[in-house]
Amino acid sequence: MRRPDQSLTRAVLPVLVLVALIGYLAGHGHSGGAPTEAKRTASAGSVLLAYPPGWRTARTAPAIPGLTIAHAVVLAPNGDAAHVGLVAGQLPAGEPSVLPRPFVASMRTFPETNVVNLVEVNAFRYSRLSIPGYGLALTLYAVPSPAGPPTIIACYASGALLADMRTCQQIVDTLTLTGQAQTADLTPNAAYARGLSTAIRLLDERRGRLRRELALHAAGASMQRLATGLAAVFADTAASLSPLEPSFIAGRAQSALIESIRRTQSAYTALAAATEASPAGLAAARAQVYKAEGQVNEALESFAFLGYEPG
Amino acid sequence: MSSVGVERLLTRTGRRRARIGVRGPVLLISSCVAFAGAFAIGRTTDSRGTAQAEAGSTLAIVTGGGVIPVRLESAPPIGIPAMARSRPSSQLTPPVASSPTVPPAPGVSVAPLAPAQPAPSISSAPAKQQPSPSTGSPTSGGGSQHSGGSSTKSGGGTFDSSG
Repeated sequence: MRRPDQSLTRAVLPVLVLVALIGYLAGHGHSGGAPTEAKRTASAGSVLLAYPPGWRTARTAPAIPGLTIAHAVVLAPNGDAAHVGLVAGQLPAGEPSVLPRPFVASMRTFPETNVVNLVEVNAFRYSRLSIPGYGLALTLYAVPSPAGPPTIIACYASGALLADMRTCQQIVDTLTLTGQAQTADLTPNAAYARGLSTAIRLLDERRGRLRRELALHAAGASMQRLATGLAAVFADTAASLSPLEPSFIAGRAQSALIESIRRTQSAYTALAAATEASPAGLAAARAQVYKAEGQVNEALESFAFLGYEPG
Repeated sequence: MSSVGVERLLTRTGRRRARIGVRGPVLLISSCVAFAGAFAIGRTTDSRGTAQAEAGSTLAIVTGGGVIPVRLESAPPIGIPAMARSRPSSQLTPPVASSPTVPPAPGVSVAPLAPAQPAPSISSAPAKQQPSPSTGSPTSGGGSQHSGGSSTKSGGGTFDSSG
């Protein structure tokens, strides 16, 4: 009586194990099928991107105010880029903060800026962007290049299509920059940030003290002496920033900062000279001081777009 | 073969058929259960691995850096003696047209031109928000200059130098 049971068990167990193995392999292969589907590639300029079969190239995308992208390639689900999609291309070179100045100026708030590692390159990622006149969720990826204009990729989506943003991020991850032998390390330098912050805080302290005195003695020789002192403060700051060694990416921002500080120094020197002039001449000199100090602020702001935390 | 032997053979064969008849569906159901269970396990482990790979590749954030001030601290406005006498000290946001020689000291609202004490800065517009708050530098004056979008940010004449 026991022999038939045992023989049946011996026959059934391997069958069950085999069936389970087939089931596991079938399940493993089922969900893994999508990523291994043949991806297509799109290229424009030096940008090469791989995108899933559900996405196609499109002709146009909604314009992003203040952001002009040259040699653009547009990708979108089913080629419909009206509400969700990706735009990749190049930005004008020479901007202190990678992003174009008018675009930065139009922002209501600072975006969240991170340095992210893509498969082949480092990129700045700007998320939570708030652009007047642009109603779509927007995330930007910028890849500066030591040898040419920066590459920009914009992922955008309306509220109902935010899930496609993830697909867009996956496409961004495949970015390859053709014809570029070198890419920059974008990691912010903490020691550099400390040096720069110390110099600016010292400038703030000395400038604040002299400006308070200037408010009390807004006439004649006292005003001249204080304005000259303020010019010296800015000159000292420019001199203290020069020895700092910025990274490739911060170098342009530092140059813009030093330049604006020197302009402010000149403006205060002109203000000192104008104390003997008419009120109109003095007002004009003061306007130049305000303008120059505004440019210092613009230059400082650009560091917030290079991965440094705004302080 | 005797009739008794034939009967025993038939009885044994019948019992075996009966056992197989019960265990056939059991075997089939067991196979299905094993397949389904293993399929589910395979699918779960695979999707988890894929998700980890995706997350790892797109969200690898480089840490480091530091804090850099994004603007100069606010400061009292620069007064012009002749204009100080002609302007009321309580005037809010002086119109440009009414004082041609005094640029609208941007963001300056309640600042007399030559105050006895540093004038506080009163922003006429909300300050530009930052992901992380300022570490010690007051931003009321400086922030107001940035709040108006491109024109106020890039326009030097609108710089807020008020206290």
